[in-house]
Amino acid sequence: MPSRLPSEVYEAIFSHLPALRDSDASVLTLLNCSITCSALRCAVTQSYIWKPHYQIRWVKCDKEREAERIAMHGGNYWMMYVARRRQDCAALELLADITAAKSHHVAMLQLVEQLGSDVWDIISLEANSLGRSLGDHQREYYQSDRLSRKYWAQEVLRTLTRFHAVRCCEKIASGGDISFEEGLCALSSFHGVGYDEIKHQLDSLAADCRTYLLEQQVPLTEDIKGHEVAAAAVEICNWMRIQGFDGADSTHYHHLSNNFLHKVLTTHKRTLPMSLVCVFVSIARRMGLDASPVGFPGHVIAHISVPTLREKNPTGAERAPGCIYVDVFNSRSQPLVALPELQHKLALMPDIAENWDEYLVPTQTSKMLVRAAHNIIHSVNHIPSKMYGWFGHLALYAAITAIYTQLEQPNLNYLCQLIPVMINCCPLDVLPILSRFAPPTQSHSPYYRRVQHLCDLAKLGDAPMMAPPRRTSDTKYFVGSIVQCPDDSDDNTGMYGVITAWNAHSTINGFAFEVRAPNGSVIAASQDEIVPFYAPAEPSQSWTQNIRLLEAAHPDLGYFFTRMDIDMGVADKGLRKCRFVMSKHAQLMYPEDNAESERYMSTPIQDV
Amino acid sequence: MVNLVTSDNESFTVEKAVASRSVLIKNMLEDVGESDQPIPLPNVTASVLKKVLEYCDHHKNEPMPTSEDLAAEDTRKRTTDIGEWDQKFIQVDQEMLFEIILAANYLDIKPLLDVGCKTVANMIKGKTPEEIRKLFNIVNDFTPEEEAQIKKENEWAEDR
Repeated sequence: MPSRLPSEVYEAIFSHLPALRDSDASVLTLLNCSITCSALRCAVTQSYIWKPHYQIRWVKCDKEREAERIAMHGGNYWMMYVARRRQDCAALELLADITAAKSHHVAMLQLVEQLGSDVWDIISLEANSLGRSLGDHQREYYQSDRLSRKYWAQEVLRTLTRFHAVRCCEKIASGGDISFEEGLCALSSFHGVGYDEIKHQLDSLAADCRTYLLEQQVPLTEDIKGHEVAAAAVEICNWMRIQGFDGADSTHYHHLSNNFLHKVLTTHKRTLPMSLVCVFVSIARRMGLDASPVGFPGHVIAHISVPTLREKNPTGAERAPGCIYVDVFNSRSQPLVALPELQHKLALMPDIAENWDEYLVPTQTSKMLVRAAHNIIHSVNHIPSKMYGWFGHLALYAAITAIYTQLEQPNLNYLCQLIPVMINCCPLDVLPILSRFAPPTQSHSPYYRRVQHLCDLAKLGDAPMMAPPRRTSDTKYFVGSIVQCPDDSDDNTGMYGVITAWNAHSTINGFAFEVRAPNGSVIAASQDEIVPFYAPAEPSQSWTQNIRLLEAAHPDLGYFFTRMDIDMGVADKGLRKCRFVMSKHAQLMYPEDNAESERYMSTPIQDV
Repeated sequence: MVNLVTSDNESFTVEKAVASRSVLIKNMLEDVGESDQPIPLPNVTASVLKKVLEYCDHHKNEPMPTSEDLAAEDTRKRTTDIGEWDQKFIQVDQEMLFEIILAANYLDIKPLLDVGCKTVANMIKGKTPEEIRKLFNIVNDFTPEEEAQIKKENEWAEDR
């Protein structure tokens, strides 16, 4: 037995430990090696050993912080790995505070300001429940706060995504070099979809389209000629239509989703000119064409700059443009539009008799963004009030942000609409984002005072920003009661739901609950309509399946509850009491219910 | 044919293609040209060389890893998977395993070194520091203070 292997052999062994994203197995093995003796520690802490572990664990980073880190550690991956793991620990502590309603607004602000995009990967791991090895261990399942941890990790990611969208809008406003597609993606980010994801989709679309163009014998070389550019533009439009990207008809024109690229690329391919032009420009630019959007009155068209066209026609007054215009929305009938035709249209618009040129050249991202935002508001106005739900709230949030950041004197009435959106949909945004929308120059306005009030509330503590309807009088049910679902539909029959709230609109019997059912519905029910439920003494398959369905159907269950809980003592007549344990956030909203919930669990079944 | 002589003075006559799996021997052969001179391998015993040559013979018709392959190794996803034949081949006692690794390292047979190192990597997975020391036959040379310090530095991995 050799007493020692040469250090290069130790290193070779360590470099064969696989880099894993969702497990610390290899890393823990390396750390155990590092405390065996100085020779192994020396081999373990080689930078290159840690490079793959670093790269697989952290896909995203805050670019400035990463550059600082590399400079500080001389690019040593071992030291950078340790630094980032420590940072991840700090992020997890802040996430724990958010989950436990411990100054959660302030914790969110710290996540954004102190750690930035660096926290993306660790929070994503938590959001996908991969962060901790929960496995199938029953004990972990019943004792952890996994439901609320997962919920808040997802909320943090959404707030981070929106924060970056706001930063992106601000960059656009200050003249930063942000492409049209990235600018438009900022709007999708308010729904939680980041630019990376959409960029990836556009990359793959462009690759497929390139294959198609080559099949159509369209030359895609650097010195592509004028008429060939036109042919390429027409073929891109054709390909887009084959893929389903086409103009929306009048019935679907004002559909809210048409304004958001993540929807346009998936379910709403028949869409608005703005969105079609964005897809077109994104594809054309990836093929090396100098394409841009033009905010032409009426509807948006695309512009492709072709300097060679200008050189070929150096005539006088009616100079030929060094470009072509593509009407993507109407590409089925007439994809290419000539300059005189556009000029003719402009001549018919009396209010823009001057400054024609502005409508014939590429439009800045900032102006396109404002136009897209107005489209959204226009679409929202087409929806009957109170019908637009979360998607509508977030759409409005996106539009208002886009307009606010791009205009010097935004309309404060618009901004006022942000406040209920924040309270209802994205409370974590209050300190990192809403506070940016209230500069002291507006301090005279009631809007400013409302924002200040909201921010003060957030900084002070964790009281709910909106008082929910409370428990009205004595009842054995509480937020977290598991009950037989009221018979409102077939697929709920024999299923069990959970009470998540008191309904504001009292029904005839005085009590009203909101019951979340395994089929995804939220049912309002009175006391007479529900029956309490007890778990079987031995967990049955249908029971487990029921709870799984319930959790999967309601991603917001984690807002109300930390976990499902079963009384594991001696079963009473083959039954066990069960409930969902209220989260800290829910306890703040429904303090009486928490006391009732605890009382319920400590009382024998026959006395309940 | 090539004649190899081990540290315990045993000589092996093998095909050139087999011996050339070792980059060390391949370079030697290229340097000296055609020659009947035996090649001494003072760091390898007969029992180990026999095993190593078994590996070389099995893989003699495979292309040699190029320098590009080796460069790509770093970026490639690391894996501890081992081929079926190799897995059977490397099922030897621990002492022989380390001897093979040392020989592969000395003779510069990268694929064999990989097989050996992967096997050891699989062996140390999940082992405690004490078990690892035992496996490598090494002595803890840290003072208690140093050990405490390192454990403290590794604390970031604890609560997960």
